[in-house]
Amino acid sequence: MDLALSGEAAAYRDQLRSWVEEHLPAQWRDVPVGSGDDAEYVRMRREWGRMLHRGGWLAPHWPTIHGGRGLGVDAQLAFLDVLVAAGAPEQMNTNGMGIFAPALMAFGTEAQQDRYLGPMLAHDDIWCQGFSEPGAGSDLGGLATRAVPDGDRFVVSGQKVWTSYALFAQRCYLMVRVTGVANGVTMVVLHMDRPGVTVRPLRNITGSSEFCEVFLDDVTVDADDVVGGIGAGWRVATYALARERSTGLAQRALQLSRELELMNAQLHRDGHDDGVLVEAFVRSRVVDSTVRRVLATVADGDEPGMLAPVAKVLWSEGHQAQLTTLVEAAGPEVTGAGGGWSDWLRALLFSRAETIYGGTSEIQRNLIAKSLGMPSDRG
Amino acid sequence: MDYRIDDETAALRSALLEFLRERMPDPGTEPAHAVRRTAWRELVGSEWLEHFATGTERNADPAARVAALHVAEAFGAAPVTGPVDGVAGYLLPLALATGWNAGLAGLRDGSLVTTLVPEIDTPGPDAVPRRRARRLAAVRDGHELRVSGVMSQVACAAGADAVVVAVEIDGRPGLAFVELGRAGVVVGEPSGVDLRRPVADVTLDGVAIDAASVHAPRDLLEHEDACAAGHSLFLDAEAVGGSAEVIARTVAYCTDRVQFGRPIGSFQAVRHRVADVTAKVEGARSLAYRVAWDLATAAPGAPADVVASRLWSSGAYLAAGEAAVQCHGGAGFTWEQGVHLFYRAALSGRGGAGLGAARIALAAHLGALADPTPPGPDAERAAEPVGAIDGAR
Repeated sequence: MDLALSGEAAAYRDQLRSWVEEHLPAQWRDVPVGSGDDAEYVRMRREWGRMLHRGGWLAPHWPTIHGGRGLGVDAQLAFLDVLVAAGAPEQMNTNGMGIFAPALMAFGTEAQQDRYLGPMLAHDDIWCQGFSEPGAGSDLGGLATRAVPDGDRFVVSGQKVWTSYALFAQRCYLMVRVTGVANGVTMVVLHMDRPGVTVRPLRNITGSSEFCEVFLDDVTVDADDVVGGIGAGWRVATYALARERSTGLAQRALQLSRELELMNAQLHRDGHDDGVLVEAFVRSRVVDSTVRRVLATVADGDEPGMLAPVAKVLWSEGHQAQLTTLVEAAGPEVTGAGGGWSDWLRALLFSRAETIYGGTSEIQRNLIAKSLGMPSDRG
Repeated sequence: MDYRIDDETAALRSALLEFLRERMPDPGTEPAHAVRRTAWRELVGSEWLEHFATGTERNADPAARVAALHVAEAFGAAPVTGPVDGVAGYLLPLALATGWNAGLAGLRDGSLVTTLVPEIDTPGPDAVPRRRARRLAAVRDGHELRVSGVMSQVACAAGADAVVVAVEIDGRPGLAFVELGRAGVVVGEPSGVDLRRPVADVTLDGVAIDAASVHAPRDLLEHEDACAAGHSLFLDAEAVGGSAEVIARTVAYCTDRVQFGRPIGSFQAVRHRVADVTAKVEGARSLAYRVAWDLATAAPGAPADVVASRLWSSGAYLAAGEAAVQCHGGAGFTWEQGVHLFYRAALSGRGGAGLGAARIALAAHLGALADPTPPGPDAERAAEPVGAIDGAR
C-alpha cells in the first residue's frame, strides 16, 4: 500500500498549483454547482476549460496521443485536488471527459478518437449525454429512441430528457435502439446542429434550466458515428457508467470537503456554534477517503467493483445531509437566501439531483447487494 | 499511489483469523475463568498480540502501519476474550516506544495484564485533540510508593494478574505495574454488555509498590497520547473486521432463510438494509487506512481524523450489528446464531467512543480551522503535563 503520489504526479501537482494561482480569476472561485444564470455559468466553465487546455493541464492521465500527458490516475487526483483547493469551477466538458471519453478510447475507432477527443479537450465542442428518456430512467433498458438504418446513415427519432446543457452542446453521446436487429441498443454520436434536433429547457428544482429535454425527429446520424458497433450499446454504456461512478464524480466528491471548510468559516463568522458541523465533518472525511480509495484502485488498473457504488452513495447522501445541516444551523438566514447564503441554498436544492443521476441511490444499493452475493430480487 | 493490500499482509490476516477461530474460545459460550486464562496464555505466547505494535513503531513505514491495521481486523472478525485492544493496541506499543523493559516482561510472560486507555481530553487552545490518562496519586513512603484511587470500568480486571496504572509521582507522570494480589487492591464484580471484555472497578487503597518499578520517562505524555491514538485505530480495525463478519453472516442467513417462497435476501427492503451498512463499513475502512497512513507521516489534521474515524467506525459497527440482528429475525434476538455477540461488542464500542468528548474535540478543531488565530502568550498550553490527579471519581 502506498498512498503517496508518484514523483511525476507530485511535480505536475506543484506546477499546476502555481499556474492556477496565477490564472484563475477571483470571481470564478467557489461558485457553487448549479448556480446563477445558465448561459453565464456555461461561458465561465467553457472558458476555464479552454484555459486549462491551452496550459496543457487537462486529462493528465490520458495518453499523449489523445492530448493528455500519459501520467497515472494519481495525476488526475492531483488535478482534482489542486482545482478543488483553489475553489475552481469544473471545466465544462467534465461529463464528456469523465464518462464518454474513456468509453470512446476503449470501444471507438481510431478515426472517432481523432475526430472527437481533441475538440472535447479544447472545449471547442461541448458534449451532453443522451441516455434518459421519459419512459426510461433507472430502467434504461426501456429506451425507445429508434434508429432506422438508411444506407450509410441512420434516421433517429425519439425523445431524451435530463440532457444537461443540451442547449449549449455541439455533440451528444446518445443511446438508441437500432431497428431490424435483435438487441439493437447502440451508442452513437449525435451532432446537435442537425435538422430535426429540438432542445427545450426544463426548469429544475433550483429554478435554472440546464436540465433539458431533446426531441429528435428524423435526425441523421452517420454510420461511422456508431461507437463500438451496432448492439454494443450496453457494453459501452456500462463501461462509461462505471467510470462515472468512480473517476467521473471525483471532483464533486472532493468538492464536498472544500464546501465544508467554506460553510464552517461562514457559520463561525456569523457566530454559530462550531459543533453544528461535527457530523458533517466526520462524513466529509469518510467520503474523501473513500473516493481516494476508489481512484487509487482504478489507478492500479483494478476494477473498483462494489467500492464505486459505495462511494456514490456515501458522497451523494453525505452531500445532501451536509447542505441540509446549514438549514438546521442557520435557519431562516439560509431559507430566506439572505446575505451570503443564496448560493448555498441553490447548492442544497441542486444536491437533490445527486442521489438520482448516475444511478439512483436505490440502484447503487442494488449493485452493492449484488456484489455481496445477496439473492437476486428478480426471482 | 496504491491502496491494495499486498499478498503477504492478506496472508497474515488469514493466518491470524484461522488461529483465533481454532484456538480461542467463543466469548458467546461464556467460557469459564480457567479456559479464558489458558487461552490468554496461548495468545500471548503466539506473539500475534505484538504484530500491531510493530506497525506503530516510530519511523515505521506508513504502509506497515496500514498493513498492521488490516491484520488487526481479524480480532474483530473472530472476537476473543481478554483485554486484546488494551494490550495489543495500547500497552505493548507504549512499552516498546518508551523502552519499558519491566513492563514488556510482565506483558510477555503470559500474565493477564489490563489497563485503562487514556481518553480524549478537553482540547487546549491549539485545538489539537489529545488523550490524557487519569493519573492516580503515588506518594513516597520510604523506599516504596503508595498508590490510591479508583480505576473505573477496567476491561477484564476480574481475574487479571496485574493492572498498569497511570500515576503521578513528585509532580511527574509515570506508569506503575501493579499486581492485583497486593494488599489494598479490591476488584469489583465483572459486568457489562461486551461478552469479550467484562469490566470491573479497581480500587487501590495505599497499595505499596517498589519505587524502582515505576516507569517515568520524560516524554511519557507524548507517547501515551500517540499510543492512545493508535489504540483508537485498533478499535476501528476491530469494528471494521467485526462488521464485515456480521455482514457476511447476514448475507448467508438471508440467502438460506426462505419466507413467502423465496430467500428473504431477495426482498429489496432486506437487500438495501445490508447494502446500506456495507457502505458505512467500507467508508470506515477507507478512513481508518487513510488515518493510519497520515499518523505515520505526521500529516496535519491526523489527530482530528483519528477522532472522526472512531466516531464513524463505531457508528458503522453498531449499524451493522443492528441490521444483522434485524435481518436474522427472531433467531437474531436469541444466542443461537451468535450475532448477539457482535451487536454487544458494537454497543460497547459505541459507548466507549466517548462521543461527548469527541464532539467537543472536533468542534474545537472546526473552530480552529475557521479562525486559525494562534493563542495569546498567556494562554494555557495544552501540551504541558497534566497534573490532574484523579483520586476518586
